[in-house]
Amino acid sequence: MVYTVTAMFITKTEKIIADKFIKDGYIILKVEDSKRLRKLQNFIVKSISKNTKNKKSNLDILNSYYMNKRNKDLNQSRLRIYNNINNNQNFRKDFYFLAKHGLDAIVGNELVMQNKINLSIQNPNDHSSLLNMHADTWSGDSPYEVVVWLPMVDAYKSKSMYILPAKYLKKFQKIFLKNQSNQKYLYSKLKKYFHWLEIKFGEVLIFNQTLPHGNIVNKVNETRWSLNCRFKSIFSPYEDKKLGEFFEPITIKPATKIGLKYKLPS
Amino acid sequence: MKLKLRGYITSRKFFDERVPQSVQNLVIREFCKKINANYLLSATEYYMKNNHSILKKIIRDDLNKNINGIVAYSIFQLPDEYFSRKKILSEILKKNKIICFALENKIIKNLEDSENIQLIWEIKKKTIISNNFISKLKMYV
Repeated sequence: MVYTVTAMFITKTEKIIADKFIKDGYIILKVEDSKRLRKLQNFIVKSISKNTKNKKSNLDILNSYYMNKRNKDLNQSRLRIYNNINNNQNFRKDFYFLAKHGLDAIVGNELVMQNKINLSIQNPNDHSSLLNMHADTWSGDSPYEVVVWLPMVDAYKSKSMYILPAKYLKKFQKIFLKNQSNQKYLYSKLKKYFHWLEIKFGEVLIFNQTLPHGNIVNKVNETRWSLNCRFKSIFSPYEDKKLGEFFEPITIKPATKIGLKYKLPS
Repeated sequence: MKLKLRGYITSRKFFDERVPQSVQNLVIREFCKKINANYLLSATEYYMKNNHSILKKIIRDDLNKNINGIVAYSIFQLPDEYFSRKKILSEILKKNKIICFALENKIIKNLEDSENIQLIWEIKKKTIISNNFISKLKMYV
């Protein structure tokens, strides 16, 4: 590999990723291991489909989920699948390896990962699973964290999510100070600045969770399935989401292991 | 009919105490089980100091719907200042709704109950001041 040094000691590829992430607040990358992605998707499909002889493709099963599941029963099913995911020993590891190099470029290579992977299922016209505009830092996440967001189906239009690019933060601050408890007001004032993300199955999104983001009622006639999980550098500052109860180290390097145990001779 | 209560937790310290959000939710869930109420997923207050925007949003939006009240983790998540607390409690009661505090096992249904909450708050404040005073005093003994 040729290392082209610019202002910092990073590769060209890392610089492209870093610049895009800082400018827009997000980056959409191809998953780094499509076998692992299929494995995760198969796991979810098996959790919902008892009929193993089903000839429908995984994408069809997931997209048409709303046809068999009433919105009022959705959260119960979501919790059951969420528990299956988080009881599986390899799921988090597979998830991490889908975006490993992207995370290396944006966050670092000694990481902590959220203990639980979140699952979001959004049926068409379901008002109960909405995430209004928010930034994770407003509820105790560290500004040093990023979110990896992985769709299990193609996500587009209202079946996806929106984010406010960093260049509009000053505008946001002014509007937020005027009426911070009124989500509808904030949304209507900022709507025109949002980027609506189009992410295909096979791609992964890494985004800056300090930027306002959220979703709206899914008006696409398909169910949206997505997973999300937070990552940060091990030694970066923590806020309310602490090491142990919320995060766990996943990539401690040898020098750190040695340093942690080291005692001066005495 | 079962009461429907919206959960309310905080992401910041109160009186220098910090409780993980997952633990706050557990305490609320247990409390709701005990009083046989339906617990609706908690809203989390903003991390910014002295900010109660989310609580105000619940009062404005959720309490107009088919929801009977709020179940907060603790009394001490309410605003620091007496009149801000009073305003919040009376807005809830004016709507004929209730607010519960899971940790302290309290249900506030009327003005008398809310005055009781104010009393607990003021005592807590005073004890913190006197504890600090005693710690300083110890340095001279």
